Amino acid sequence: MFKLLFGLSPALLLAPALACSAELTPRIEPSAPRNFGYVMGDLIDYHVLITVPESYALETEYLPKPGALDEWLDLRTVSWTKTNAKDVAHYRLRLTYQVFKGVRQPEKLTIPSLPVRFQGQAPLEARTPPWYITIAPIIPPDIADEKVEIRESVVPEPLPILSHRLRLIAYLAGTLAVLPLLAWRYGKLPFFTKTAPPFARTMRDLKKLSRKPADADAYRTAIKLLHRALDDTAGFRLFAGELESFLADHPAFAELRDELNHFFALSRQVFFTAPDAPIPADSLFSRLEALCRQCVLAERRSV
Amino acid sequence: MSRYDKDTLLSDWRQRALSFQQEIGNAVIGLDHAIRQITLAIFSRGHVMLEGDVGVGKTTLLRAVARGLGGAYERIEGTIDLMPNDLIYHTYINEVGRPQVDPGPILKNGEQLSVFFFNEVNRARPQVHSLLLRVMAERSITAFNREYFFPHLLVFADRNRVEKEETFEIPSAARDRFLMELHIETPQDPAMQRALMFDPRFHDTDRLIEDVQPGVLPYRDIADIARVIQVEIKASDALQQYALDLWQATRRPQDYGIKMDGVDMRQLVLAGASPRGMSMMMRAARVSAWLNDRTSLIPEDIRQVFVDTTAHRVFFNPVYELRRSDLVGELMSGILQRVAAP
Repeated sequence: MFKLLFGLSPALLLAPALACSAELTPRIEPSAPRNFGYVMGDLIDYHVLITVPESYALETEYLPKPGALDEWLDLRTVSWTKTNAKDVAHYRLRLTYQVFKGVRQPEKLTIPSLPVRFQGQAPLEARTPPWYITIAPIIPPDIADEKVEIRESVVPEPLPILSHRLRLIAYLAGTLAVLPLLAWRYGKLPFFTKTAPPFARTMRDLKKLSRKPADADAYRTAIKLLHRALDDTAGFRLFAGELESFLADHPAFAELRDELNHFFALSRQVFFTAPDAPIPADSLFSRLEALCRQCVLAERRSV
Repeated sequence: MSRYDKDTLLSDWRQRALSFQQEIGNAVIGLDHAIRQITLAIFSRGHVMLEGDVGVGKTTLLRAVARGLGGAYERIEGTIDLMPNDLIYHTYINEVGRPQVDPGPILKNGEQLSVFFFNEVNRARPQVHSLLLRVMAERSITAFNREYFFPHLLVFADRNRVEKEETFEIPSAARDRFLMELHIETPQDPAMQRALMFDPRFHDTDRLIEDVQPGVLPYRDIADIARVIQVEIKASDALQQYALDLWQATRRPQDYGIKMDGVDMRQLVLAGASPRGMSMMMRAARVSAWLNDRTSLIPEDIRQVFVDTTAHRVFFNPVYELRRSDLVGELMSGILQRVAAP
């Protein structure tokens, strides 16, 4: 008996010291869902709760990096969270492995331990315990390797897209309904160009005209085109004397009063009072185009 | 005549024409359009048909015009028994009991006659119209075995449009010789109507006429200046095209997209304006350009005179002729609205 006590005494004497050093040793609590029933390609979640004194901080630089650990095991993701409790800090590590081991018989595999380091008064290292899992084959045992056929891919489950389809049809129908109207307004409707708004039509004619050589004839034609657009907008042949009543009937054009007055004066000069004079320098073709563009905008405002 | 002289001449005469209009406008209120058109007619050397209600100031207007021109003014009333000779001579028994023949209204003043007013011309017989036609066209007449000339004569005629009994419609050939047909209307402005009713100045027309400065436009020189105006005022190609289009539109309005309610446009016009009519229109338009101080014609000059110089030259098919007064205005404004320039 004495001998027994004597034999135990060093252990009893060491017990407080062990308890003291245990406080510095991080407490490691692995938790894994299961350690069986895995097959090649499965993802394995492995959680470890490490409790350290509050003064220690996880050295994230030393955490294992995702990547291949060995030829049949990959570490896919590593993440962690920290929660503080009384005097201690709980680090929860979440490791996701993927196993690539092809087997013909169930086998026991070891997921190796990983080092985790903490920074504090003195460096502290903990290692996650190794973990054993059982992996099962994916090929039936009575079939030779060369007879194994690759299974067809699983047909993806159709997503419920009926509501999207209806919405798409509604949008398309709306667009189709509006498109001809817009095309007409902008004078782009190929078979109805004559019914397009006068200035939209004239704008297109002027663009065509501007591609031809810029001579006096083209310039005169441009003035005539603008006259016709004004006539069509007014509903009768518009002359300079009727401009004010035209502007009163079409207020959208009122802000173009000065430009239109200039246009009529220009037309009078070019066609009647000085037909042989060169084109005035302040009224080039581009100015006619600019006027037409402004009229197109006014035309859109007025509808 | 040098360029400078011509410009000065035209400018001087324009001032005279404007003062003439002002003088007439002082005597006759509310007839600005008619006064302006008559001024154009004077310088175009054309005759004018007036049409309007009774008592709207036609005679006063013409007397004022005659005074402003400074020549002699004669007037005759159209009646059913008026014969051509009544215009040329007048026979009566003189104070010593012998028959005597005196020159009639046309001949009485010889070459000095500047304004001849034929009132109610449609009451006179076609024979009289025929004589008038010659006086207007040639400004001459044959009487007492010789020719008489009236180089400064302007004929104004008035057509009664109220009564149709015992009237003779003026033949188209005679109508065509009038440069213009003016409609004289009662002024619409209430202030003018009030002035005409209550202002004593307008009650005594003789005094009114006396207020007009005589001879503002020396009638003897008008023919010359009229010639200069016609030469000096230029018409561009685009303008000639516009005038041509207007003419064609009086002949074939359907080609210009003119539409009228209840009218078959292809059947409407029997005869459009005549070449003489169009030449008269252009003469008046040139005068209008000159009065507006321009040396080139613009479409507005033609539009200013188009209706007054052209409406009476367009003849409708008989089925539409009865509605002439309604249709002609619509047709004319339709033409002005549909024919483009440039």
